[in-house]
Amino acid sequence: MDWKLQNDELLRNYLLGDLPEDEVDRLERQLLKDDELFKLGEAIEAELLAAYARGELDAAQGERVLHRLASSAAGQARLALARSLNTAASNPQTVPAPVVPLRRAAPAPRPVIRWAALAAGILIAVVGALWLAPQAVRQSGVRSKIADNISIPVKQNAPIPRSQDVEKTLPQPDHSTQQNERASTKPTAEAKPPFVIALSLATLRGAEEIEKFPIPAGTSTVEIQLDLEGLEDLKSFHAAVRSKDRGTVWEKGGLAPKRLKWGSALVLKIPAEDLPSGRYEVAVDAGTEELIHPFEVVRETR
Amino acid sequence: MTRAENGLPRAIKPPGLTCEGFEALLAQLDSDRERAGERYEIIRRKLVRLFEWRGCDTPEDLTDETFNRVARKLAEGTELRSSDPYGYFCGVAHLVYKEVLRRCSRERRAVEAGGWPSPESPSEAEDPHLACLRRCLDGLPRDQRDLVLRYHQEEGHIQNRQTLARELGIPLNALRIRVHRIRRKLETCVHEGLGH
Repeated sequence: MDWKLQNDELLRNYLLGDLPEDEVDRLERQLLKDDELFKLGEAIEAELLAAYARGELDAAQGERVLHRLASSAAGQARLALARSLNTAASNPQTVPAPVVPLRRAAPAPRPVIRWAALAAGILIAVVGALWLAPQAVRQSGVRSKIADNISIPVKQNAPIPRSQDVEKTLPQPDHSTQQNERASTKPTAEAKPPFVIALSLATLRGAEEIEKFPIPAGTSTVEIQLDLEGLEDLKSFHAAVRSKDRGTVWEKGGLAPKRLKWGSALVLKIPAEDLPSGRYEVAVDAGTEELIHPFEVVRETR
Repeated sequence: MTRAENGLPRAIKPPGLTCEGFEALLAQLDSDRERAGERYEIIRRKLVRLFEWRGCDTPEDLTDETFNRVARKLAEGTELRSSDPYGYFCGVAHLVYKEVLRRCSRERRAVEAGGWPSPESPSEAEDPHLACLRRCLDGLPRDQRDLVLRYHQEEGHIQNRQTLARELGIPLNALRIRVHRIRRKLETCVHEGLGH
């Protein structure tokens, strides 16, 4: 962290013209190379302009801000923006609400939970239908009816949502194979579809327990879907899954966001064998910061 | 920066540079033409900002001049070190800067002579930026709007920012960069809104 504070001070001095020429030279080379440092420089520049516009700088500093940061047309526009932002912030037309993390602490509803809800709904529908009207529903027809999402007779005041209705209200992960498998009551000999874990890249830490994900036996691939809300501007990500004991168990760069039905996500397909039971964290390099989400895997044996 | 149909930045040849010279420059930046174009645009944008930060009021011209000189050197057989092509650009930019320092100084003196905005904010009715900014703020997602406004609140703003960083669970510098990202969106929106 110290180097960041040093950079902070260094950049401020640089922008105010307080650095000796050899340090300016070194810093500018670094600024050309290092995108994060460059963005920090731009952020500090904007703060200096805002401080100037608020009259917070002494006369000498104010003069240097004007001459160094607002001498070009673009600089003058930035100064005007800083001034307008100060005014808008001190005199908002609407009172700013308390800020919540830009990314949801938990994507709601999570696909895994949604699937559980869907499966439970279907189960209730089947049990209810069999119980209420055994003569009307032949057991041999149940599976095909569920699979086709057709209506099942239910009692008047207890409407049980049809799976189609559930699908309409809940955004679904894009896994038709998984849907078919979970809708079916009959075990299949085919390879299991990926087990989906949906996570949010929350930056608020410590407030929630680590989520556990039981992975069924026989799963060959685990698909981690990371909610990218708030990070839509970024086009490429580097992601890694790490374990405290085993270090990095999986990583990949150049990952592009995918548009899933519930939003923009980063999809990581990880061989299930790389994720034995234990605690992990998924870390995503999001340009200016590393976003981390811990999770726990429990491998089911049967 | 203009973009090609594939969404990637399209490198624009600086004035005063031949097509051959420009292609040779791009070839030194990356063997892949599109990636070279992206790198060129990144270097160009940064050089413009560096010249701005040094107080020059025609940073684009100085950046073009820097590229022209680099391209001429390449045509003469100089090779960019692939490990640090930025260093070479920076060195040439320093030379360009020093050469125009006297001109910049004269410009600075002109600047000092007046015509600059005072730190005091004009009234809302007089500030065309503000009305435009408010429209742009309205176009932001609420969380981003609230974040940028809270960040710029005057009263106790240092503590306010520390509190914000704590609330978001991120370091102060990450907060700064996040706010800066939103500010750049606003900058573009206001720029377009004012018809520049």
